Amino acid sequence: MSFLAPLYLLLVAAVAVPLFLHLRRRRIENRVNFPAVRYLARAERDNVRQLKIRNLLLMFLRIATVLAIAAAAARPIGRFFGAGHVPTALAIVLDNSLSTSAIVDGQPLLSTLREHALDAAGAASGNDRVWLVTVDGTVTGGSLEAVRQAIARTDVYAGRGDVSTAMTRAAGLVVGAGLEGRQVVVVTDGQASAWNIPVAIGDVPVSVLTLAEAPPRNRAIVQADPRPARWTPRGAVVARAQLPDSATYRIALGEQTLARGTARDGEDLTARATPTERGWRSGVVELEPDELRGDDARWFAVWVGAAPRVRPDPAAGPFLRTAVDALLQEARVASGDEVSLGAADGIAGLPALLLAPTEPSRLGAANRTLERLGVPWRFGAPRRDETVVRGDRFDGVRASLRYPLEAQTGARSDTLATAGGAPWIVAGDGYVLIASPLDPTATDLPLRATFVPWLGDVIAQRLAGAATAVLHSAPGGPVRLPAGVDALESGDGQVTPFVAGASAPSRAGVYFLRRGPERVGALVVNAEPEESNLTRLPIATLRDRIRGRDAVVTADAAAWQRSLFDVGSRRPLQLPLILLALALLAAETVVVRRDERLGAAA
Amino acid sequence: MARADKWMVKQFEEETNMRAAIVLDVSDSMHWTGAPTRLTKLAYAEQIVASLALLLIRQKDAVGLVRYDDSLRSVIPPKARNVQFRRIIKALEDGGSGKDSDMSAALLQAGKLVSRPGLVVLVSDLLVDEEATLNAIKVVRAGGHGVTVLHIMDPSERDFDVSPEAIFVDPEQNVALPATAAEVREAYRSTVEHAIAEWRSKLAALGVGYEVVFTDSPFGVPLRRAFASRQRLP
Repeated sequence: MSFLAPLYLLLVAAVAVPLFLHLRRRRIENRVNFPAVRYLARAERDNVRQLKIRNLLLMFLRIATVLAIAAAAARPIGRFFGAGHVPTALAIVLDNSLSTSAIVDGQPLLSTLREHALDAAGAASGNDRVWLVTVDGTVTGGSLEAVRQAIARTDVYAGRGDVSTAMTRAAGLVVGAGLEGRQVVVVTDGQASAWNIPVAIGDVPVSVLTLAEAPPRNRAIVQADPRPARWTPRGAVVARAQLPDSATYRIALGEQTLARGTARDGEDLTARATPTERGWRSGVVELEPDELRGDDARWFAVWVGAAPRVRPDPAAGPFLRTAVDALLQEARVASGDEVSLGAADGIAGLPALLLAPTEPSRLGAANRTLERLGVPWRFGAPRRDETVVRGDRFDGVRASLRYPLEAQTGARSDTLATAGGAPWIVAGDGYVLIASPLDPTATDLPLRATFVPWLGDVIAQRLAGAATAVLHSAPGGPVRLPAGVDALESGDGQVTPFVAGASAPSRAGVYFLRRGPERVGALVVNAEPEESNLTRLPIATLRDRIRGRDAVVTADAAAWQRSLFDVGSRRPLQLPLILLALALLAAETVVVRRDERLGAAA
Repeated sequence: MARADKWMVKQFEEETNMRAAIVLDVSDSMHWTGAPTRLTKLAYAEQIVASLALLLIRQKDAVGLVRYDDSLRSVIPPKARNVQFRRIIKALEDGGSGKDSDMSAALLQAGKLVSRPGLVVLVSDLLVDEEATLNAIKVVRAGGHGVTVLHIMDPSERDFDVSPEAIFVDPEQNVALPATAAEVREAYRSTVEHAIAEWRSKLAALGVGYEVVFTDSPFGVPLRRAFASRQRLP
């Protein structure tokens, strides 16, 4: 119980009044002659027990009346005995992230969490509205029975999920329901990485049940990268494990095992290979099974084939030529006419890396070349302002001379970097277009250490043959596929149409990007590495992370159960207390008047 | 038919020739009234005594008076003369207000005053020793006298409406008792009714007439009721 105006509790001191009156009766000073005192004495002697009871009853009624009035003035809010709870909008957030698949005491944590969620649903009544929200973003509403069945069916999600978004969504549901009672209950394993940011849910009461026991020890593969992304055909896989001790591992490409051994915590695990098969291949790095199976394997994808043959335009400057030489030495590219690299005005055909002209006087020729090649972009008027380039792998890159890229009708391409709010590097079908010449007087990109690897990846993924990008995503996470990709092919060969705006698949693995019948890339879906860290957040810290009113965070299932619908069952007790005070006053009046009435009647 | 051969009507006035003694309690408790607008119990009782004495004298009965408190204050032997009434009235003006009521002595004295079987009328609030009083009445009854008791009560002694809350003091016994009227009124009323019933029962067992007279009612009514069984009285 709580009080909205607790200062009024000072009125409790007024109980001294009836007590004083009760005691004062023994100190009467008014003396009156009354000859029939003998009758009075006999009456008191014969009725002493009844009189004592009556006096005590009157004192109790008067004290209780004062207490009830004082409590009512303090405007109490609390549970009303026997009143159940008001119709409540209840959203149950069930943490089904990968970490809840850990086996503890012979069963997955998720089974325990599901039972608690069912307990919460069982406490609801037919007047409540109930939803189930899982951290993978699934929302189930409808009848209470439907929600119970959804809880029982909830399976482990292969990734980290987003408990913050789930709670925010749950709060939105209960607020939108328009019922008097609102409550969000959360059942979670309290994984620290899942609760790494504060969650604000407004004034919706929230009750969180977490786990206090130490998490099981976990082994996980947290990194599995093919290097380079395109094997020509040689390449390597570099993996890393997170281990409390040591464990055996295996690196496989397709059906072929590339390496086996014993892994130690933080140690790079490298497997070099020269596969004989060509095309897009999937691979996996896996550990011996432990209590959390979901992160014992980590997937990767690689394109295996001949090195793309490139020919840099000598007029493009020394920096491009030097970078290509470095790639030639690494055998990541070969000399040939397959891919052209150079200023746009000197390129004869696609695929090509098209650079802005070094001289503004060649702008017209460059745009005519773009038009001739069918590239839906044009170079704009040159701008000589120092601009920071923004984009993946371009942190800190500056552009001092740029020809802002202007999209033409039907332009369908990926913007890889921007400068001054305009596209700076765009990629499309068979072309990559850079808005500045690769010259230090125009941009410091060619001076950057990341330039050569970036150039190799661009040639391998964007320009060489049918190869496109390798994308990475968490299960169910957002994914932006390259232009023209219309389907995903899973590891077992099943092809699923992909619509724009859809999320990544919810199961970990490699999904090949399909453009018609052709594989043009791969989407690698792995759980977030941080999901393998099962460290749990202390209850006090978890409570601090929840920014809301009346947040209950506990590891005690019984206490948590008691807190459910607590807010729904709390209501203003002012009126009942006022009624109680009036009833007590009426009872006191009846007791007092009873004697007077009987006397008068007699 | 008389000698004149005429119808005649003779009218006689009956003389009962009874000897009566009125015993009046003038103790301190009789000097009390529950409301200023009412007579004290003693003043009311004196009116009853005077009325009764006048009635008895007018029918040629001898009537005497014994006034008492903690001792005998006045003793007037029964006489049937008209001057007797003035003696009684004068005696009523005498003092009293003793701290106690020695009713036994007064009753025995009254029994002695009435030489042959007659009537003893006790006018008192009966706030006395009950056993001693009943014993005295037995002695008087053994002398062949009829006894009638007029129990004088102030209405406040019945209703207990003197004060809402006070220390109630018995003026004779000097006993003090704190009480709140609202709390004990019911029990008090019950006790008073029980006491009246006890007096009525025990006096009836002795063949003694008993009537409760409240000072807020016309005294003719209780007098008529008290003496209704005695044919000689009007």
